[in-house]
Amino acid sequence: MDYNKKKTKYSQSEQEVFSSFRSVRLTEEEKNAVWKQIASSIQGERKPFPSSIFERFSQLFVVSMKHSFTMAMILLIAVVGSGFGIARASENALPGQKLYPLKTNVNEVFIGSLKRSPADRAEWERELAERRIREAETLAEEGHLGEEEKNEIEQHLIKNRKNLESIEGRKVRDEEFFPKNIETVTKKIRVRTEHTETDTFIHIDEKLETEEDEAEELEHGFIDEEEQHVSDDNFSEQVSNNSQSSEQKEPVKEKNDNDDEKNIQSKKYSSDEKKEKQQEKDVFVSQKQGEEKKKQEIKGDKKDTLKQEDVKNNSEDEKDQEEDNAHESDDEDVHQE
Amino acid sequence: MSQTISEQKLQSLYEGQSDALFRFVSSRVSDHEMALDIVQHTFLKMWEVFQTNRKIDNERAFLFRIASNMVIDYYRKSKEYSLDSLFEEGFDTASDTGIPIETKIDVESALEILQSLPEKYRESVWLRVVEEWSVKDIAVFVGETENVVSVRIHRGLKVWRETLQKKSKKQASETSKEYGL
Repeated sequence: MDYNKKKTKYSQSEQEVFSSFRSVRLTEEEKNAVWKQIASSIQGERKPFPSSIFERFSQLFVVSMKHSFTMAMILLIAVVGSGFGIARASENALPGQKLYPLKTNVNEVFIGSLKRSPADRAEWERELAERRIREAETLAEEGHLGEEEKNEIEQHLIKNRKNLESIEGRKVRDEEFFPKNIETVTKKIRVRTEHTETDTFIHIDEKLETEEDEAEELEHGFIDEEEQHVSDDNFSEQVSNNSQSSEQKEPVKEKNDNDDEKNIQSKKYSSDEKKEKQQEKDVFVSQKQGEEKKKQEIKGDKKDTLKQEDVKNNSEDEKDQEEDNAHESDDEDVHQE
Repeated sequence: MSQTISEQKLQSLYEGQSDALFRFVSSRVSDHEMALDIVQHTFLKMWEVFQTNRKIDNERAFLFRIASNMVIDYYRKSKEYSLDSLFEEGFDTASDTGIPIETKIDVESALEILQSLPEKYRESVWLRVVEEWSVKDIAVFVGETENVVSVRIHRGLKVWRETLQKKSKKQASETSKEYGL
């Protein structure tokens, strides 16, 4: 085919039109700027790393096999494993805890980046808002909902709301942003919004006792209150007992065993020196007791030996008597002869 | 910094084709910055292809193929730029060219009609008449035989000419009405 011949088929005016199309071009500045960006991106992924991810991984393996395959595997597992571990651990973190920034700034951002379609992203922002409110509720239940935690959650909520608005491309109403079951979720906290012309502020407060709460308390908490009073009375009694003078106590307690006496004395003497003295006394007492016991034992032993001696003496006496008797009998015999 | 062979290759391709590619992209994408962005990403994609040492028969056709796909992706991603609005906005050449006003109207409507052609005709006609590619190259770009491509160019041009004539007649009658002729 002869293209030159075809070209002549275009009329003069047509050729003018085409050449005017052709006159659209990049300016020198644009041309240089775009090339600069291309060049910088290229140099970012210069060799030795090949461009495709698969090749990079395969090269990584080749290098590691040269040194130590097992070491590389262990390292890989350790790094990936610990990373996942921390990430998983941070899932239940609450504001004010160390892993909480990891949860909100890494985990949730990562998950958010996986959401592509606007609908999914909007849904994710709502999910995040619900999470924040649940966290606030949990904190309030635990009694850890301080000013800093409140601030942090409020900031997150405001950010979520802004993101949602930019995704939807319009202003979002409160009931669209907050979870539908917010009433059932929030028992301890109150979430309220403040709209200005440009911005929306979200405030979280711990719930004050409303009429409903009072009604609930009347229903369920009546018996508890009585019990509380009883226990309070007991407590006051205990306090009054404790406040009684120790002098009054002592005579009562002295009637009891020695052990009790020691306890009271040790309570009474607060200083260490006196305690030591008491201990010394205790030791002295126990020593005395021991000595007495020993004496008793010794006495017992002596009595035993005496008894034994007595028995011996008795037996000897008996023998003597027998001998005497024999002699006497002999004598008698002799006398008889 | 010392350049690798593929870097040199890319740079020479950029020097030679960046204007034509920009024209090609901005005939579809009205947003100037977006068109620049697509040009940049097209060359980066080309660079990746160079790095894989894949053999490319026709680099220019390949480059324009990448750009064409990127334009399609761009329209898939952003629904805010509908094709209709693009046609309404037109393709502003006035700032870049010193064409007299009378012919400028002609150029604008000529471009509008060219853009309104179905995709398969539009690309082939554009590359043939504006960029003056050979039918062989266009065939590589489209992925069809040369015969199919030349038929497309022929039909596309025919439709374009007819519509342009109708429009200019209409315009002529309108202007004549204005002057009470």
